[in-house]
Amino acid sequence: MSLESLNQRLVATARANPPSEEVPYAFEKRVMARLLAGSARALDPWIQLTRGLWRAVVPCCATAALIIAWSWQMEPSRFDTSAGAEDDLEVAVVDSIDLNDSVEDSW
Amino acid sequence: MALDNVSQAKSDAELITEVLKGNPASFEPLVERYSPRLFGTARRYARRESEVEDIVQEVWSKVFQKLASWRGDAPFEHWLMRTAVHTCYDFLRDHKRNREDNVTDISREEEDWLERHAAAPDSEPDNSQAAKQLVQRLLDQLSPASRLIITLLEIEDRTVKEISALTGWSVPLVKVRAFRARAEMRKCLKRVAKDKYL
Repeated sequence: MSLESLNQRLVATARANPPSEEVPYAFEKRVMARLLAGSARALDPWIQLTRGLWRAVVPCCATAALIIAWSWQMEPSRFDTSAGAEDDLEVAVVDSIDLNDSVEDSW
Repeated sequence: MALDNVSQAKSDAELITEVLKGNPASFEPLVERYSPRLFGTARRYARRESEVEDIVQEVWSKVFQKLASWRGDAPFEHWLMRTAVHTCYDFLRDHKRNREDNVTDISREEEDWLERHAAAPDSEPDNSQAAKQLVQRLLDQLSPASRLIITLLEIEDRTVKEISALTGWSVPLVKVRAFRARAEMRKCLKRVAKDKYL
């Protein structure tokens, strides 16, 4: 017995015995009920909103984690705004004095 | 009954247009029309009837969801069968771990059938349960791609071009996979038939 003849015979057997095309009872009704329920669910705005929010959870958490990591990486001095605020205050005060002086001069 | 006759008279394109216009009930005649074909296809890849039903339901679900993407330049049936083949392939890939472990554990009836074949190799193909079981056992041992190719090419007798259209694989890829599938089939056959029969 050669492998080729065995192969051919088995393939011929499979060809000669195609599977049944019988459809289970009320299969169409079940499929339609499932599809219609699915499409109704898909159209519900609350379900859409809930799905959207759940989908947004992971990206939001990832973004928050990235921002936290980035802020930890930054130099602390860049967050220290006390020197800048001091200068700004001084400039503002001096400017207001100069402005008052010029007003007095105009009189 | 009258409604059924009207639905039968409508073409696939007309029914699909109705569904897309907001009448999902028009999808039912399509399900009735093509489910037998889908069951025949699914039964080639899945043994349990529950699995077969799941495959066909999944095909209809995919088709319903993507109905708007059907362009109408090819028959609906071709598009449906392409979805069916993809779904069956996904099923084979998902269940490849469940394949039978040992192809050499053949039943007494299958051994008898092999012996009868060894005695008369040129006899006509028969409908015996042993031969069918042997074919099923061999197909179960193949990789998902090989099983799909052997089924479409050898058993359903489709051309390489048709398989390419159904699977979405290029023609050279189908040929390469067919070559590998035949080699895999021979390897499995060799294990089944053992040296004493060859």
